[in-house]
Amino acid sequence: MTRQETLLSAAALALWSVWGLVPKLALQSLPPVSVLFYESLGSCTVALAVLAFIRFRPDIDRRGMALTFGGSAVSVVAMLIFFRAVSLGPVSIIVTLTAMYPVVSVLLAALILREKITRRQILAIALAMAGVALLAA
Amino acid sequence: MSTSAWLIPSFGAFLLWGVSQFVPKLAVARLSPFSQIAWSGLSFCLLTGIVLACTGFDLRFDPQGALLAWSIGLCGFTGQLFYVMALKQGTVTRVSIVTALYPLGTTVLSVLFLHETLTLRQMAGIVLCLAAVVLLTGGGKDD
Repeated sequence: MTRQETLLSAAALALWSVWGLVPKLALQSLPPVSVLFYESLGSCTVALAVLAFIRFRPDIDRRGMALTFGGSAVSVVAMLIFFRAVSLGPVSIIVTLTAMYPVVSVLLAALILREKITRRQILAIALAMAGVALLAA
Repeated sequence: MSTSAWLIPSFGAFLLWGVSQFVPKLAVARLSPFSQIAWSGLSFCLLTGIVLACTGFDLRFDPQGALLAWSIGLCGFTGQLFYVMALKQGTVTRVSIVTALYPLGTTVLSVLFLHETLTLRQMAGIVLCLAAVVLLTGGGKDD
């Protein structure tokens, strides 16, 4: 991993660590759909700040935009399904199961992008999944 | 309540999140990370509007809850920006696994700010996560 890739991944990990904590607090005073609404305002704030940074001239590419929209749609549906699951069953098992999602991303990358998975990476994936399972259980 | 009632939606969320974290790698070949985050944020707002319309605009307001929920979007999307920037340079395998270790950070924050206690099981989980990070980010030959 290059230094820049490591720093960027660490920054995402740090922000997502906070992202993982805050819903627990927000859901104490608001129902899930309301949380989703205010969360979308936060997303919009970031989107507008980024747009201002690039002087309101985002790249226009139909396929890229369609992929991005599709990714967002899948993400919103996943979030709602997750809220539904949590309202019906044990949170610890559901969080553990859904936290395994990189397995799907890695398999898709291997199948579609032909990314090679080394033995060292397979060992790291197994350790990471076991670690997350122990943390979420 | 039968197991399948929550197991099926849980498995659905697992699959969909996996797909949603793979798609940015395809999009980043055509859009810059900044453009992708801008379009993604706007899409997210539009889709939330559709969800609200489908649920009859049943919206509640609580100042503290709303501020916390707003910060979820702020952290989530800024994190997504760094994720896409990392994907632009690296592989889905490395970047998605390292960033998916966020429960590690959440656990540490819960201990620090919510004064939750750490069980032996969670400590073992932290050690395994750190070992995975060392393997994925450390130097040396990959295989």
